[in-house]
Amino acid sequence: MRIAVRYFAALREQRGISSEELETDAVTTAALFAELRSRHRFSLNEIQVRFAVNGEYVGAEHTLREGDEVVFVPPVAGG
Amino acid sequence: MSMFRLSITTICPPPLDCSTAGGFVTFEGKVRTQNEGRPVEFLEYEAFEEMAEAEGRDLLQEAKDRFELEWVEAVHRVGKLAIGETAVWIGCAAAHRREAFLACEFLIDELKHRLPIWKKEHYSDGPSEWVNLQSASNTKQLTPSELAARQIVLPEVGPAGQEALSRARVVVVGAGGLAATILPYLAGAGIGTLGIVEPDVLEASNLHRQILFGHADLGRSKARLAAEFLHRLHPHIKTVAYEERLTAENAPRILSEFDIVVDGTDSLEAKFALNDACQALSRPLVQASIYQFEGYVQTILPGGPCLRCLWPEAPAEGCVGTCAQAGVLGVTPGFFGLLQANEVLKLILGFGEVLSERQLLVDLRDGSMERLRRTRRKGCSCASSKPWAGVSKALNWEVDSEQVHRWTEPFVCLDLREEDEPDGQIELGQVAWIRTPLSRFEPANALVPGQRTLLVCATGGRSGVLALRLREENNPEAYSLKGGLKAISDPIVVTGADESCLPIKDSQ
Repeated sequence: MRIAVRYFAALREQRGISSEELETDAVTTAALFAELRSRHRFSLNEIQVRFAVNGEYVGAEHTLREGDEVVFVPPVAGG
Repeated sequence: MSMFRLSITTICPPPLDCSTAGGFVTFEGKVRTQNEGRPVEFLEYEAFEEMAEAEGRDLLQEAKDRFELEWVEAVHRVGKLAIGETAVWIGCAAAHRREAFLACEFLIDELKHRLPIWKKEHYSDGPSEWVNLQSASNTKQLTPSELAARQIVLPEVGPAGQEALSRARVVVVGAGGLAATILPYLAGAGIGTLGIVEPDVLEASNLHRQILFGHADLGRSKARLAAEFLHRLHPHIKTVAYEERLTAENAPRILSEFDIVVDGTDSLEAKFALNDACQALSRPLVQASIYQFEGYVQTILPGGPCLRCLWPEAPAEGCVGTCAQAGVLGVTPGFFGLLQANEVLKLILGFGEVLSERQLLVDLRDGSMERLRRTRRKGCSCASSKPWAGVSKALNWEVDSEQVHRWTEPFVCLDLREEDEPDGQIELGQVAWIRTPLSRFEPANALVPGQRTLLVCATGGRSGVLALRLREENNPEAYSLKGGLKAISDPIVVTGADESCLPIKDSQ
């Protein structure tokens, strides 16, 4: 299925782009992140990142659907 | 009783007459041997006496209210003064030393600015002119409403909103890049009390984003520097500088002095500590975090959703980059600080939608924004927090007669006019009209707990001030008739003592 992904903060920096559309077979948000993590060598793991789908924070085991917009949010502390 | 007087003879400091004060601070302004490099022989002071005394009394009363002084007196000399004599004496006593120190400094600054007193320095090397201390200070005394003129016209603000702002107490934890815009905009808006918690001194690497400070200030306490900046911006606000790091131990002492807490820190540990302290103390926390060009802002209300609803355990500090490691442009914290100031104003004024259920993410590279809905996590500790009492207890204390006519619950009118003022009642739907002159007003006798009470006076001034005071003393049912009896057009007047409308008592 086709998913729109947005990377925030350190993840954006490590991915090199802010957003992309991609094809995936991942069923859950955590599975999608694990797939992208191994592809792009993110320093943060699934436990350290939060997931939002279609404008709402969801859990790691949230089931993805065709056309979902996913945002990956790492912890941020600067000020 | 606040006392200000002018003295033609040597000042004898009045004795402190107050047993409830724990701190007593005095200041003496002295005549010294030189001024701007010229040798001084003696000084002369001349005052516009009536005006100076009236202005002095007002100023002392203002300081007494603002710094919650137990006792305050001041004496200013007039006439000819020799080297070493005392030109002005100020004494301030408060429950705690901090307020006494602050009030004393405030008073000497303001006395010089406001009092119509002229000074002539007689130099041994030639004559000098009379100098008006007011013009010498080069500061026009501005009233709070002059300073707020452009925002009071907003229907969302108005005089009541401005009053609520002036009564609000907001603390900003961390005087860094976020605070650089949070603090000036809150001061500019007329927030009455601003606290600044910051243990560090100014470093050169701070300056590109911490624009309250100047390069000449390097090495000085940032908390104090920020307070000085805010006083230059707005002479009427009270600032409290805490030159310490916020910890679990000092958080209750510091944060409980304020209505709203703003997070200007830059570490996860501090952000979680603030989250926990604010939940425990039932204070809203306006939070922002940034990373290079991105960041988020959210307001955490007592009862959640809180930071731990999303992150039950604080992530390890090493998994996020700080500004020092990752780098940051000055505009990024400045932008998010503005959003935080806006959240504070929304909380106080009650307009718009506070970002409590949604977190706002912004990327300054392309201007994209996301609002992500946050929900309470089942079992999160924030669920047991008491709801915020709000600064809203200071809101909506003024009502006009139309609003009163819509009230459905019974209420009594307390007529605060003095005995030498006109008599007579107005029909507003009250169950009783009681004449209770303000000079003899005792809350315990006049108020029935839980009973709605409408305070009235001739123009709404005395009743407004008293209603606010009663609200602060936890009488949420105290209201003031806006504009007083004068403001009521086409009143139904019930003159004299009509026993059927006066079930309790007449004016005495």
